[in-house]
Amino acid sequence: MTGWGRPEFTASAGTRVHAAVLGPADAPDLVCVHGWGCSHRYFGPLARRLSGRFRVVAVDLPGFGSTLGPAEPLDVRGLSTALGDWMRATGRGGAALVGNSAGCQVIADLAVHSPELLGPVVLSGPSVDRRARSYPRQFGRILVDMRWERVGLTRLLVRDYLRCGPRRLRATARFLLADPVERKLGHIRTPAVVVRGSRDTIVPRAWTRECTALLPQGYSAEIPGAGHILNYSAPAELARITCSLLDRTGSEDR
Amino acid sequence: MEPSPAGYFDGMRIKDRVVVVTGASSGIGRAAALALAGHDCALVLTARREGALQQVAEECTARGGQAIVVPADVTDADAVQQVARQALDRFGRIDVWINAAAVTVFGPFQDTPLQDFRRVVDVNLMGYVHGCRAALAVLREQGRGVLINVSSIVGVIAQPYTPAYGTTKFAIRALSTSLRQELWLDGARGVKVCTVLPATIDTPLFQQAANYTGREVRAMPPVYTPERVAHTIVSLVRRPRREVVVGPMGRSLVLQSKFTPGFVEKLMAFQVHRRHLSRKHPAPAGSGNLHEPAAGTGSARGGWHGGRRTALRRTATAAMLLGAAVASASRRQR
Repeated sequence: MTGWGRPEFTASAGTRVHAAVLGPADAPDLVCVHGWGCSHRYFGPLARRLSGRFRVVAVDLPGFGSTLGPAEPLDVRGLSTALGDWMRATGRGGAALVGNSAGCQVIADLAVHSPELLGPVVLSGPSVDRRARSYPRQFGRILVDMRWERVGLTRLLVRDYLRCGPRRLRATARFLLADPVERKLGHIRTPAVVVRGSRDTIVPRAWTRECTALLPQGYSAEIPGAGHILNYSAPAELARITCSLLDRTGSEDR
Repeated sequence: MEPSPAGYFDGMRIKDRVVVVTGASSGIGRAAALALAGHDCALVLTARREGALQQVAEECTARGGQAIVVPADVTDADAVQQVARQALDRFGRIDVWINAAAVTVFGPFQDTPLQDFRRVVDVNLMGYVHGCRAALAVLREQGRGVLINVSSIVGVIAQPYTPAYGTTKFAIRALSTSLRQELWLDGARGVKVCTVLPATIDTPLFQQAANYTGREVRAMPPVYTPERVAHTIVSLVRRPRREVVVGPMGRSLVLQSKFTPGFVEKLMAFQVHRRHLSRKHPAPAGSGNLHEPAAGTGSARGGWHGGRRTALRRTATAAMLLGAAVASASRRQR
């Protein structure tokens, strides 16, 4: 029904971390990191397209989706530490990472304190645009962006938001808006691609250009006609861009 | 943006399409790229001249589209594959692939160097074959897309002194048809293959052609604008059709050739002899842009006044119709 395989539960980061898994057991791992208030669920369409080549693992960060979090909502460092903990516990250090929106902030923060855990990185719609770090601007942009998303996303997001709860949502949003991600991107030393949808209102082109320039081994891609949530609304395109990034790095490493 | 499941489709919205154009540095390819850029398309431009492509890319961006430049010689199959790969790397999909790279050689059959003949076949035919191979692999995987091959009305009625060009243009029609049939048999209803048959178009093709006739090559009237072909290409993306002729004179010639093939063949021969090759201006023998690309940054138009000539033709037709109407009205009054 959900389209995912057997879920995975790992004791790490002081909680029981849930991760949805799809793909053959012997394939290389690909870890998906969700954005603000979301969960593994909106990675479904992307996972289905990548599951032939990879073992797609979409983790729920503490407090989101099916992973219980601490009473006090975690800040960006807290989330990235939890992600690092979980990656070490499951032996996924060096796996490829796909982040969407705020997930990119978590990955950038992980690169600051545990760069050895990072494999090639796909930053899809990296938030938060330096020039629009305020609640009204971000919410306005999110509302406008919904026009470019596939039908069904709204329902999925609303369910995830309700599960997360308003208190955690608000606190997390505050941490994300205060996060100086532009000072952390330089720490992602592995090959990385910054992807945005050409109609994305949350992440303008000037911002992704800036992000790409900050990455030591970064290049950019843009999916014409797509919005912010590429893993749900343009999964085939994002899957191809992900594969080509991994093809490039594969030829260099092996 | 999800490609529809391999179901039937009737063309697509032109906005936000990812389009690859070969031969984008000049002529029809360039005009098509610019027209599509005006519809917010993302373009992947390829040709031999990087400088010319950069200029086209800038013009595309100015019109509101996006463009990346991937220089390649279409005779190199790997280079063409690379173009497709770059398109996927940058934009994640390919919606439309336009094959428009062409060269030509003028000269009596026996006097045309064999290597020039072979080069024309390599570019015009094998270039399209490489394009189709690269494009269809992606389009079939997506289950959706349009492949547009630019042939010519010379692909229906051949001309004297350009056997190489005519041969390839006939072959392109066969290639398109074959691919269409294969797709149909495989049930890949979402992938469309179209052939465009333009009449004489105001492009730099004629100046840049290899020439062994000893006579200057002119654009044979009536001359139409490359923008007109671009318009047809845009309409094909919206609503794919098998074969489309551009230019009313071309359309009537194609139609007539079905009823009186012998006559049209001779008419075409006579026209080429009288009006395609200059009777006043001699020209030195040369291989044109066959082996080395032309200098400069290219252009869509070739300086044959396609716009002015179209306007003149339209005015003349309007005047004729008006005259006929006045004449018939005054006769009735009497």
